[in-house]
Amino acid sequence: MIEEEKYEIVVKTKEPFRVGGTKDPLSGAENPVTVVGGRVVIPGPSLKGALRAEVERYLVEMYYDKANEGWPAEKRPLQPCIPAPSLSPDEKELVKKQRYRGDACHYPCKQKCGNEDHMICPACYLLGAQGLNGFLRVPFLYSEVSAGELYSTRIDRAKGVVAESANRRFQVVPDSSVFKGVLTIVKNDFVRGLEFGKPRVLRERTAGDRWLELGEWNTKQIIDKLVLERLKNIKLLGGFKSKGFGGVEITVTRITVPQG
Amino acid sequence: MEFIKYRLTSDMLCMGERIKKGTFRPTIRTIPYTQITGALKAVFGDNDIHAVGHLVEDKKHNKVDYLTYSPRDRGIETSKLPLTIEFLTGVLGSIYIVKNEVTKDFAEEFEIRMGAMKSRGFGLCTLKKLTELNDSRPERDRGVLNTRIPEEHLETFGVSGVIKPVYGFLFKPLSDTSGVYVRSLFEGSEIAGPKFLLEHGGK
Ligand SMILES: [Zn+2]
Ligand SMILES: [Zn+2]
Repeated sequence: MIEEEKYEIVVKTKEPFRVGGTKDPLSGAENPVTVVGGRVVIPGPSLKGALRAEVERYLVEMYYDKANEGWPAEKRPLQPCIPAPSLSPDEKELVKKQRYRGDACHYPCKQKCGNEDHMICPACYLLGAQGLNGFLRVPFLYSEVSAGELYSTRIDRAKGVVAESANRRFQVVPDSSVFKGVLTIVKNDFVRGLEFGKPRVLRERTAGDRWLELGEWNTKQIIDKLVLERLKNIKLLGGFKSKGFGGVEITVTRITVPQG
Repeated sequence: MEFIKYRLTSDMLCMGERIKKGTFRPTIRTIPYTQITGALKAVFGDNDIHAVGHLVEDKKHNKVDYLTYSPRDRGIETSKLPLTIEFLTGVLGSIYIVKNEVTKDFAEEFEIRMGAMKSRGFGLCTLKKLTELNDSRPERDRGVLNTRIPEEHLETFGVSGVIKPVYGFLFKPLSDTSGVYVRSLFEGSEIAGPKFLLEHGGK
């Protein structure tokens, strides 16, 4: 059986969110709120992306050696990767400055990896790497507002906020809207022999979960610092350079399941 | 041959695999042997488990939807080339599990995770036991197959004849990270077999 820990995530919008469309022409920000199956949601991929960004930022702030502009050799296993098959010129710059590892984490290592076996970084341990699942399942967050209500909401609230138009693309959810979902952490998977917080036993070629062999991180710290605090630290969803748009407040509460 | 029938429901399900380097991940509209069997084994262990399924034809369910999202460029904090996922919402399906010593004790209701994008909120399914098909010979007919079954498991499900095959390949995992493609009968094949494997129940 699989032993899981569940947490309710509640996102409260601090600003109006425009719904749908890939980009907001006003701010250039991604729109994380969309309608799926007639329900207003913040999709799992958006939340997962935001969480991953927070985990990466935390690791870089914690371990990067600013004075010497490099990643300390003994902390190498804690350096986050950029999980993309190819890097943009700006990302290559970050790798050059050693803020990020250049190779996306993957499993297993293949011939093209050369003689070097690659490690799995903490962000990929939690959220998954190419060829290897993580321990977290990030949910879709549902709003209590239905897609139908959204339309009238727009008429009441959107005036002066977003361009006035009968076009559905300009719907907004007002500030103080609430979105909820349940995050799952796999604590123990007896079938696969996985235990959260422990390096995984991986049979194929890899340097594996080296960061957990440094002895700095235990299960409780990982959940508190790398998951719960990071989630609560998300202040913006969707946009990264947006102004007056996308602001959120997140609370996370452990769900205790009655025995049986 | 006995089967246990479960009802499958899910908010959102993506049964596709991203085509290499593509930016669009299409879904399929049936529940192949490999997907449902793999999802059950993830919960109940690598045991003697065999299952197939299909979506229920019903206007209110199994609607196709799309979600587009963009990976972030770490360098300049903007988005990269967006990816689009095709998936089903309000999923309603039927699952048939071969009844044996392992599966006869499955709970009346339980959850599994199936398909792609499981770490991003897709694929959480609830299975609820409906009936047992206890006949030693389940009702059979000729008709059009409504699921995907590896050739090696046709007998397991009582397929007694393949009249007009539509072949394809299903990924059969051998471990968490490796697997092989096995030749399989796809939906649209004409077969003789139990009615629950046939479109419109064989009509
Ligand atoms: Zn990584
Ligand atoms: Zn490698």
